[in-house]
Amino acid sequence: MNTHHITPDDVQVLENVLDDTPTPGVTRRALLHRAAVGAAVASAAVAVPDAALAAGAGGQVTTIIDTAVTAEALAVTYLTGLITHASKTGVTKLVPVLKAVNSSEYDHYKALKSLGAKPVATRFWVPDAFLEPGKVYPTIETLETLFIDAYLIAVTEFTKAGKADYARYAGEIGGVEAQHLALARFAEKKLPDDRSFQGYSIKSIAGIVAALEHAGIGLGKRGSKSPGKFYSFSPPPASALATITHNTPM
Amino acid sequence: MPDHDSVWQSGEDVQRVENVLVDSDVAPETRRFLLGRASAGLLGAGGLASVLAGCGSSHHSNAGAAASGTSSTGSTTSSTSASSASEIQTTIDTAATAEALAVTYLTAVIKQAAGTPLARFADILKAANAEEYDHYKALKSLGAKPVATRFWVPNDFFGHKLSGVLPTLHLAETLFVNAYLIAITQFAKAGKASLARYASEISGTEAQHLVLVNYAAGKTPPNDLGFTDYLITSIPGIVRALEGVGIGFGKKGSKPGSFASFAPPPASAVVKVNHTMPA
Repeated sequence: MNTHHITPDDVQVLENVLDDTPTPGVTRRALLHRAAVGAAVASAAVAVPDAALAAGAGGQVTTIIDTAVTAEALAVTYLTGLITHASKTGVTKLVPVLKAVNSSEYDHYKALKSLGAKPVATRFWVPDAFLEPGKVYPTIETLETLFIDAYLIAVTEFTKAGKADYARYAGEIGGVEAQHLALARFAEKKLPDDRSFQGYSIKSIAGIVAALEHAGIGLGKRGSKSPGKFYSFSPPPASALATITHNTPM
Repeated sequence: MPDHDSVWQSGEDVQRVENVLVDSDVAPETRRFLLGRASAGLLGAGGLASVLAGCGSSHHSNAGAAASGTSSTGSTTSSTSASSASEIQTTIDTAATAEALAVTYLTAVIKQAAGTPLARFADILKAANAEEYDHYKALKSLGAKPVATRFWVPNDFFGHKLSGVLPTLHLAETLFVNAYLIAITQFAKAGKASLARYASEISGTEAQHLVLVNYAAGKTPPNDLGFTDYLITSIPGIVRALEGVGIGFGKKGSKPGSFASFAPPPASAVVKVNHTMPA
């Protein structure tokens, strides 16, 4: 009857239905596993071995917060560089905005560390192009889009893990990242508020990491785009920060 | 790349679920149960109400037994699930009401913006209006029923040359962001991962509106938060806050004003936006 090839999208649709339908955990895991095995496309989002399914929520939560804190460290490293060399990176006009962005990313980093997150890298390969005038705001737009997606993954997975407060924290951070996205688009003279719902096109943290690496970033190793350089994370100097409020999650 | 709006595109997504179940060699009785839930939960006016009706009912244990051959391993009691379902319904009803209020207000503002300092932000306001309307439609498709579609709007929400608009929008968007964080928390406690994510997707957009209001008001920097606001922790608290500034839901409010009724926004009050359904 069906010649349909199961895709990762189909697995997600099934997962959404199962999420919203009372289904015993055993049945849910069995169905998702069978769907994933049957999927036509091999990807990190689909190839879910029994061990991963059985690993439980704890492993997934740890992976997510470790990846998130790494992304925040990357953001602080990048932003501090932009601000410190504003005349060369072409961001002088919006330095007050970027300092506030940097402050919030550093607040996110500290909050995630307080939850036990351990960065998978604190040394990053950043393509030189990311620092060129005219390319900064498109870079920030790309990064913030990925960060928002990552925190939507976090909301989803923290809910599945029974961690409602963590889900809300992820929502609080995601909201601020969305503000950064709007401002980056505004700086590019694009319509800043261009979406009714924030983007959730990547469904796994591994997919987010893959997207960052595809963009040329290296997490603790050389990235895929050259020329570039290694930069190491360190707490930002006061000169690269602005005073903002709501510095810890509620 | 199209949005993965499984909850919204009813017929297509039910077919997708069926395809996956058939190709996964799922037992017929399990397939019938899940398709029944998908159809009831996704199609038209049933929406969330149908899904929630199943929470904690005998359906759960029957379905569990049918699917796995064992007794249900659900961990929630019937009364807990019923309470959770009732709270979720209240939340989405209130959210839909707030979105209807937002559309009503923004449409009026946009109509009056020409010749005022807000005129240069017309496209941003129209985009915001389109988005609030998308939120309204999404919540309705989940089974939300607005508690009012006629609102008392205080006169000072407009003011001379719309001078009252930016402070009003700052307050409203702050409360909307807060409301959706309440929703995330509540949906997460109920184990509703997709709903929690949808609430977060909306909350992000409301936060964007907030930062643009700050920019329009000349606030430097406009992005002044490390984490978005969660000072109010209950939906009734949000409603009280809105009533506290003079809004009336289906009744006169506490400040001089007038009634305005919700209607879908005219084409002149919106612009095209993306990601128009949750994923």
